[in-house]
Amino acid sequence: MHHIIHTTQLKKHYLVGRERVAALAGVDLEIARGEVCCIIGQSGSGKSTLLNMLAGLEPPSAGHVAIAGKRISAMDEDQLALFRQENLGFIFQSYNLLPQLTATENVALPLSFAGVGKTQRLEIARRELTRVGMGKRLDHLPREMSGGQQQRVGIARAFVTRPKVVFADEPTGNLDTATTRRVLRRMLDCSARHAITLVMVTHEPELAQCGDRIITLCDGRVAENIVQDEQTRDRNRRLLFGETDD
Amino acid sequence: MHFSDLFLFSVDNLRRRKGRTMLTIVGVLVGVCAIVVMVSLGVAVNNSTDEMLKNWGDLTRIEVSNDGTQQNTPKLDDSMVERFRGISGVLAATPAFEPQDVSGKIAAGPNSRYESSGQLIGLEPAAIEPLGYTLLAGSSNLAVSSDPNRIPVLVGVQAPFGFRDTQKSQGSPDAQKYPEYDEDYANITNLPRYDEQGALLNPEEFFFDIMHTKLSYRMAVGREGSGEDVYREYELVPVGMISGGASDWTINSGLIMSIESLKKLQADARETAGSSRGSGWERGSSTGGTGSGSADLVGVSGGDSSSDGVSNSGVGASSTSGKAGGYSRVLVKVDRVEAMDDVERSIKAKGYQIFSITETRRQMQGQVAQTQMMLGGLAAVSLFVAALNIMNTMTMAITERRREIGIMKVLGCELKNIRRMFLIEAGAIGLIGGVAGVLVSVLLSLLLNNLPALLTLLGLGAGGIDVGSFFGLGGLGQTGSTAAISVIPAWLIGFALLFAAAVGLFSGVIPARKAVRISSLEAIRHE
Ligand SMILES: Nc1ncnc2c1ncn2[C@@H]1O[C@H](COP(=O)(O)OP(=O)(O)O)[C@@H](O)[C@H]1O
Ligand SMILES: [Mg+2]
Repeated sequence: MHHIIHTTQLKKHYLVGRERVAALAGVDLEIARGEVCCIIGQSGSGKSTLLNMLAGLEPPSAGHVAIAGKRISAMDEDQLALFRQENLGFIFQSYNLLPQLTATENVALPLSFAGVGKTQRLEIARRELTRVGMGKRLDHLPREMSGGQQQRVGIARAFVTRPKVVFADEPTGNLDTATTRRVLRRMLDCSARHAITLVMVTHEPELAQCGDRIITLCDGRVAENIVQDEQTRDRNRRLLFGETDD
Repeated sequence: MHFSDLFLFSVDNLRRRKGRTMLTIVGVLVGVCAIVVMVSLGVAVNNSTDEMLKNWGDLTRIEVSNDGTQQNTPKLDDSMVERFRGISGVLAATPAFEPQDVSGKIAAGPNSRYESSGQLIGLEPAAIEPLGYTLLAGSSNLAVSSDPNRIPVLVGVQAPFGFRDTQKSQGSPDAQKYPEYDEDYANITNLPRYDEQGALLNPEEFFFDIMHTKLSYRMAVGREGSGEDVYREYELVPVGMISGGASDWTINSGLIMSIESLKKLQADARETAGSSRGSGWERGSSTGGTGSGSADLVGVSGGDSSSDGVSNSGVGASSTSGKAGGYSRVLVKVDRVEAMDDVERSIKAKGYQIFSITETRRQMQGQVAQTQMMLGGLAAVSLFVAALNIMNTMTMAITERRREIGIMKVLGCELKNIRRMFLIEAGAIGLIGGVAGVLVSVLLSLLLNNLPALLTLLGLGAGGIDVGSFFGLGGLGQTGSTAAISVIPAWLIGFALLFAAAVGLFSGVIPARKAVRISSLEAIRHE
């Protein structure tokens, strides 16, 4: 089983008033295990719709999504919740940390859903936060942190359960350029360290150049599906991160 | 997800919305408080009726009567009494034999100066001790002596008040010694008191010491030619004094002898009655006139019309002890209160009327329970409002937390845990409201119970609060002033807490379902 994500003729329609809008008009994709896959495209091209469907947040109108050999498009809500708990991570554009919980508690949250005991999960969460450079802000509340810091907590939260795939929808959309680079680097680090597949939506083509695979969407269809070799990818990364050090 | 994590998460959410949570809790508090206080009033009334009934008499005594109105009711006779004894749980059973055709006077003192028409009651001697009458002096040994004219009796504690001084005119206040009552009109203060040695301690209250005075029972058996009544006379030998408790008036004012003795008296009375009927009253009296002693009189008249007497005695029996024959009253003693239901049921099944304090208690408790249900219903309305309140609070909380719920779903929180989270929150509101409600109820209960004292302290005048009449039970007023108005037993606290938590949980069901249905897409809406 070579590919971790596999879709066949994935379609999604929305009814806007009386009109049927096709957000996805038949997407066939294969994403390999451990790959960093970037999805680009103009606003409204269907990037978010595709990502939501890959992560099982929304059922497709037609077609299938399979992750790690499991057809998630055929699962009910209960099965999906368990599947997400065990296999998927998610990084949001607006961070979506729970405001009442500290950084550590936020990161520990998915572990608590999985039934990990309190002391153990807080310990794991602290370690994960330290890895993304947040070791000094373990007990801060979200409102006491900058956007970049919050997103680093978000990254720790997505990777802490060691999922098979992490999805990120414009994770740096709310951040300035310098912060964007630092945050992206953390994400790529985490993905590489544990060989976790990362699927990231972005509308900045230069960020997408860091991926192993770059998928361009246009009007709900795959317009381009490029796989870069490691040398190109690493050169692109050096170009992007060269001047920043964290 | 561990329950403890769920719980902490829920409690944390409640804390985040302190103001609203508090208001909702107050709603539950009021409802729980209303119910607990209402029920506590009923419990208090039941307690004081119990207290009162305990004073009334024995909870394990049943009075069986046969009023003869029922067609198929079997005779209440010796064999039926024997069957009562066979019922499991029955300790003793005896007829309370009060033949109406044995009418005589009890006389005492020089020249039979003092006279009483006190009732003779025949009991099975073996049943007297189990029946639990209080022996105030002497013994309860009614063993019949060899002399048929000397009959051992137990004197009822109020029997001395039945004597009249025949040398005083009928209406004179000095003609009789009367019982004096205490201010509550519940107890007689001048009952005879005897010390260990059997000496009367308050002789000034009575004409004579009934335990140490020769008593004679004089049965009129005819009239002499000169117009003087002719009596047959027996000596009654007091062996002890008993009290049947506050309510057993018959025993208290009567003279108790063994049923065997009383039956013999009845037979004697019938013999003479039969003879008078058979030969006519005038002739009977003239025959009687020839004898100077009563014994002679009986002997003569008995011999005169024995067959008539026998046939008449059947009629006499039916007219004296119930229309259908047999006794009109039988006393049954049961070994414990718990067995009362069964014993009463099996006696009723035979067709008899029964009276027992337990039965009365059941009826009173039924009445209280009815009122309690009504008041409890009213209180339940306020708890229902509290439940709606909880629902509203939870629905609001969920609307505000749509995004949070969406995030948790995306992060892999199972639906059952989301549901539980909100159920715990709602249940916790109920439980906390319940705890607070119970605490306030206890305070209110304390306040109510000390209200008369508090009112006097404030100079507002006292006067007990008659909660009994509130529950449709009049006449508890006397006990009401001293007894508690509100009693909160442990079971009521437990019930209130459980009930409040359950109401909270139930109110959370619909909001929790709503929470579960929230889409995980909420997490990324408006990005
Ligand atoms: N919930 C929705 N209801 C109706 N139309 C939608 C909905 N979500 C997305 N769309 C439409 O689907 C198309 C693709 O949207 P989206 O996937 O969000 O694009 P992108 O993320 O690439 O900007 C757009 O035309 C958008 O208007
Ligand atoms: Mg988008």
